[in-house]
Amino acid sequence: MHLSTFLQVIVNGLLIGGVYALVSVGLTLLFGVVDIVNFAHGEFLMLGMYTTYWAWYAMGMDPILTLVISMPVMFLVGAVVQKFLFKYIMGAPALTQIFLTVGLQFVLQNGALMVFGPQLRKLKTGYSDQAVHLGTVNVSAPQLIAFAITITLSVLLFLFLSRTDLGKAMKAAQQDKHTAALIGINTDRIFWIAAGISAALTGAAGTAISTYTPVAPTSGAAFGLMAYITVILGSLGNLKGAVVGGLILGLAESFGIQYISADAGKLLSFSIFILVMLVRPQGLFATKESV
Amino acid sequence: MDLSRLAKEQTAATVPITAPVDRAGRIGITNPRLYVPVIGLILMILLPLAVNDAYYLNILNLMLLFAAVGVAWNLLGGYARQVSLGHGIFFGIGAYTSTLMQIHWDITPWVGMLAGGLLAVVVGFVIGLGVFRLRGHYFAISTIAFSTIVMLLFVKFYTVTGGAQGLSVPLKNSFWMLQFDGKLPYYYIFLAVMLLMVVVARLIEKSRLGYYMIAMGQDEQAARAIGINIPRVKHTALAISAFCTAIIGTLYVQYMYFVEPAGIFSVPMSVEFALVSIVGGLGTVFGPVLGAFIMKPIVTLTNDYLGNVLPGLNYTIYGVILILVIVLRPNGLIGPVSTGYRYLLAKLPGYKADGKGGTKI
Repeated sequence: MHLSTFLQVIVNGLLIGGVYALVSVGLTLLFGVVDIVNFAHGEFLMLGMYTTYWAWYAMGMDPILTLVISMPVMFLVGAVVQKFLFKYIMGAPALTQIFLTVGLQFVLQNGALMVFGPQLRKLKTGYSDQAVHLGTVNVSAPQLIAFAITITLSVLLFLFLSRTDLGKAMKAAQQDKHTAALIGINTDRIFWIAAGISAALTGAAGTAISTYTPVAPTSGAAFGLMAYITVILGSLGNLKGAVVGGLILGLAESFGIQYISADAGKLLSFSIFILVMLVRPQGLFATKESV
Repeated sequence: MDLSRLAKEQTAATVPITAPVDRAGRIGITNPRLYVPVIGLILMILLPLAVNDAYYLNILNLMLLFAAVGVAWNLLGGYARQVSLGHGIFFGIGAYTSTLMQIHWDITPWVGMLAGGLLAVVVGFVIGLGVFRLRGHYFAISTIAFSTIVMLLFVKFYTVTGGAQGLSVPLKNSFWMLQFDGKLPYYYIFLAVMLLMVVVARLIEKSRLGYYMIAMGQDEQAARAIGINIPRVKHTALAISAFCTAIIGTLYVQYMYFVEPAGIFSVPMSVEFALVSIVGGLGTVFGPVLGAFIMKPIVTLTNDYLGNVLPGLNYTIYGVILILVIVLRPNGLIGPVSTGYRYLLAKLPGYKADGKGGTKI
């Protein structure tokens, strides 16, 4: 085993994992505060990707700068969906939530097909195919940017939840909705804001991904699947769990590709997921009883 | 409540409102409770002869097939409330086992489907060991993870499975090889299998196992507290459901002549098995049948008539229906249909209540 290969595998794994973490933060926040697992999460990501694509296409904006558009747009989408749809299934059994949001997934994915058509749309930027060289290790520029966005947004989210009144109210609602309402927190407002922030984070992930992945109505689905696995691995609702879970899955994928075979990356990461579930049925960072 | 009063009420509830049907307790053919289903069955048998058009016959065939697999899914997902999104695994094992046995050893799919069914039971047992400790979202997403792993394994070990390109069923038209020229013979086979599944579901529903499954599905901790062996009930329900799903998988591949990992083990395939039960009614015998009879024609017809005009419209409509059903009728559409059916029966000549407290469909 060459040291340089090993380092490259680690770096690739962290970069892939960083994207999984970024995609998962919004999903786990939504569950943590609002108690909903959104099976249309991949489609929220897809909407974020389209927002970036059209902002780049129509206005010639740098894709990363389009964060100032994709995040507010997706905030609105998340808040509206919470107010008109998710509100009715809060506290419903997992089965109800799964199939209502699967219905939403059908609507969003095929709605995008109707509006945008089936063709793959590819962004072109100066750095799409660039790599940064650190000694013998090559780092893909767009994935590095995605990684930086993950770190930045995670830190900002953490600060928001721990330092601001709104963030603290959100944490209170996460821990106990009824008591939070009793001490005067407007939980309804907290829920739509949390759903908005969750979707905005997902929109940011879409922006980051669109710099190196073609945009199409089905582009979000594969990332959505990785996000579900990630948040379950790191325990639903746990932000740290989503980040660590994403990195574990990314590293497993990278090691599988290098040391087993080119088609064994996902096989290894999914197998590790199953093994963890066998040992810890409530994920790595289980805190509250999950039913 | 006073216990003696409760006991009295219970006795009262079991006393027939009108006189029982005959001395042996059988229902006569003059009673609509018997003649309406018989007429329905005769109509189902005559229907394809009246349709006599390959396009519409195909839709009918898919309706029956998905109704059958929906009933199989519903045994585990509906009655026992173990929401599997990985039933494509068993469906695919059924399809692949019979096809590989035909290709390599020339073995008839009538035998292959049993082999596939047994293999699905074994695989289901192993998966069950992994997922039955999990609850809610953890369970559902882990079943998705398993079906993704199975799909990746089928792609990776292509020397055995044919890999990502998939497998074709060798062409040999004969009843013995479960292959036919037109679509009509398939209709009768699928109809028979669907009716068989309905009978199986009905028998299980009324069995000790069925009561255990329903109790567990409603409240697992309470069911455990009254002494139900939870892991055993879950594994038994999964074994029956997986076996039936695999057999229908063999029928599917004999009808389609082709199977590929990305299609059969995909999340949308497994989700569709569950959807017919959700739309029709979870944990009811005829719920999945109703769901398949509503959803399958809607998707196919909207796709064929609107697909070229506006691709995506068909599944958008599908999604909207799903959302509306879950928000407005969380128990599925079987409730009003069942009430309507009973109302109709009561209006027909010769109607007599059976004294068992009404018909359940």
